[in-house]
Amino acid sequence: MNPVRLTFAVLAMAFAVMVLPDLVFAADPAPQPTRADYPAIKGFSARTLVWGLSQMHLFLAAFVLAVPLFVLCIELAGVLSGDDRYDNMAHEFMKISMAAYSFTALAGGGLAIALFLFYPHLMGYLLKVFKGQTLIYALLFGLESVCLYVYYYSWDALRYGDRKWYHMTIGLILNTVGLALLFVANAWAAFMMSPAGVGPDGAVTGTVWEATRNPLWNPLNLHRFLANIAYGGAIVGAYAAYRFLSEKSADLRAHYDWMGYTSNIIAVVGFLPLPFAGYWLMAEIYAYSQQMGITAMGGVLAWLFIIQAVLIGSILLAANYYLWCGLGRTDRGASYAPYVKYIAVVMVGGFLVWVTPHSLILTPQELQLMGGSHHKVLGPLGIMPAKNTAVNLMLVFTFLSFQMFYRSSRVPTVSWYKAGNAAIIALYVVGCLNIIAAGIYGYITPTVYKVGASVPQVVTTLSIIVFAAIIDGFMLKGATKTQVNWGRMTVRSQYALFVLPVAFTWLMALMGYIRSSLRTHWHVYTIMKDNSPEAYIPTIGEAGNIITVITLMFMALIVFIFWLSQLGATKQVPQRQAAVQPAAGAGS
Amino acid sequence: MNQWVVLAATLVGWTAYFYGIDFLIMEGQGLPVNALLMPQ
Repeated sequence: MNPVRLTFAVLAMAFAVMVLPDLVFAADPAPQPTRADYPAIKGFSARTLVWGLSQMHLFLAAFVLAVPLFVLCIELAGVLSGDDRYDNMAHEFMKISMAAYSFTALAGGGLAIALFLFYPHLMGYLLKVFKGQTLIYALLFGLESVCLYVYYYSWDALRYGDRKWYHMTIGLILNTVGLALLFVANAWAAFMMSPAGVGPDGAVTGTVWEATRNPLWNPLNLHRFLANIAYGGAIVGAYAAYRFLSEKSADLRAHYDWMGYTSNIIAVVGFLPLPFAGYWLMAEIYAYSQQMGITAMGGVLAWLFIIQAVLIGSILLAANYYLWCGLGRTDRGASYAPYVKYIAVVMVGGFLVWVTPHSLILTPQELQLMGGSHHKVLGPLGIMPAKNTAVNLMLVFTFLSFQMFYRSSRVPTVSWYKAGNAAIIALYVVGCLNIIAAGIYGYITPTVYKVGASVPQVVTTLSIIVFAAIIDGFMLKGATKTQVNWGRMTVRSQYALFVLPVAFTWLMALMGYIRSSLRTHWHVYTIMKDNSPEAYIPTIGEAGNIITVITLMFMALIVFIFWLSQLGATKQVPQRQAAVQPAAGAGS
Repeated sequence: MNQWVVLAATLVGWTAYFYGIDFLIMEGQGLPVNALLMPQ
């Protein structure tokens, strides 16, 4: 046989063996280890170690997978506009993520070792289900590394003309591989929540693809994809703020101010559709298992959603505050300042509604004083129609804040701009009234309508954003651009950029814990029980402490990564030159 | 075109649009909007 054909046939057979389970593996049920079967190290919490490592790995992976996505977009913007500043900024974004890449691999390696060491039966079972996919994952990881290094180090070598397109093609391959990695890893996590391709006893009955395409896979893919973009934007925004505050030169401060602004926009753009993706994920969780959904939203984990509301509210307030401060960059910005207080009222009001719990943990005396477990006035704000209304209005007004800044540096020249403004005002007024009306509708209807009415609210929010952007786009075409004084920002505004990654990190740790805890006492939901000594849901306090420690550790690592990035650009002055400079200075 | 005329016309237009999508989405979910809604 032709050697090429032979090689192809062998490879095809190997691939078939990997992806078709029944060819190789017997349909054994899932293992059911007893408590004694779990390897243990005395006084050492295996679960906390795995929890910490997996969360750290996820933070880092989210960051390093997200950055190349928007870097490629910025690179393309640089090519289309012919403005070198975009290219420089994109390159700098990549520089930050490069320092984080090796830490991602370290955390991933550490996680794999910890999992195989402490949970060998679970890992054995997952390998049995996903088989060759784990090898494909390793292959993709290797490919990701190669693409990432080639993409970063060839930046200057492939900077102009046709070569730039070659470079962007490498970036495209890098992002394709990165997304594939994300989706494969998501398949494993989603399989543990909603197993597919296996029988009730866990015996493998389907293909790897069936196990991959489990009910929660795509909702998780979308949610993590958007969250990664927002998270990556928030982290590089903090880097820009850090550099803005530490630089003395006006040019560099202007550069880092612009970088911070771009990062904030990336974070907001990723964040705006995120609640809807989260809503879809939760709806699919309910559809897959009502018990799992109730555990999340109505059981022990429900209180954590109040903390989630506080964190998301903080993110929105910080992002808006930064945008409002940005009005100071332009001379026309002052004319928009009077509207800020109205937006602030909506943001703070929405935040307060969102954090209002439905039922309270009360003492008997408090219950007696209140006349029940629900407050007469505030109680109705604790249910979903109120919260959906609040969050949708907050998102609409966040977009308005951005729109105001965008307009502050542009004077429309079209004759119909007053009519265009009227159409946009009408859009906001009617849209917001529709969101509120759909919320009220939820109060006067049965539960199924409450849930159903949240969808028109989402579509209304997206409609406002899309139509307002389209009308603005036409209206500001050919507009006279006024000077944007990059660097003319308050120091306080930069701290808003620090709030974003801290709140995002905390939020991701919190929600990661909730998602994982939904499986309760199962490794693989309803199929493989977790019989380890630590198979219990920790108290809210204990979980909060662990989440906070993980967040602090990651923030410390991020500060180290920022410092490394800056260190790489620092050059020591030769001793002779250093000695001459003070002397020259003294003589002048 | 007079901005007030546009404002009035777009108020009507957006109201029709949002009512339309509300109606279609609710009906699409099998939740008829004109049914007896109050919980009994």
